[in-house]
Amino acid sequence: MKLSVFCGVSVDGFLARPNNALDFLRAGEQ
Amino acid sequence: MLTFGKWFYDKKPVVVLSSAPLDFSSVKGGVVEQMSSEPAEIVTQLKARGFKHAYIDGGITIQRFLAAGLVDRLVITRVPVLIGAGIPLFGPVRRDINLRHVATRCYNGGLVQSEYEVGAALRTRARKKGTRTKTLAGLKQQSN
Repeated sequence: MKLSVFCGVSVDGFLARPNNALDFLRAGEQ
Repeated sequence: MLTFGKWFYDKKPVVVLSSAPLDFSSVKGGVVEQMSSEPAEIVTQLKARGFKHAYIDGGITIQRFLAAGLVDRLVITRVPVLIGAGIPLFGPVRRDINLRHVATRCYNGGLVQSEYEVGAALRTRARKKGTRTKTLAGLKQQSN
């Protein structure tokens, strides 16, 4: 079985803000 | 996932790893279940059920599966922003985890996506081909 990680992170390596918010992932849309 | 307000996974089976009681009643039309074993046991169970590929998500979950040597591929997309604090993708590791860079792609808006093959997969492939995994020392020698 093949296991993959596919995720988006900030340049400083965070998956989410301390409150689990993912709003920063939209930075690439600006 | 349950707080997104929309279920993005359609009928794709989703396994939530948690030992806490969870309520999936808000998931409409999705296929979701809960497991709470160790990563290797989870993989064994999914394999036995015929799954060929699993996508791992969540900071701690990713770290646990990496530490157990179970991840074959990392595809990381860097978004052009610094947020200073949060849930890290990676954490402490007991030993180095060698990666092989497969590709890096750039997208509009400054998104940079890098794909890596993880050490265990590299070793397995190298054994099958009868080749040796290139080490950092080997790379240094080549650049001299």
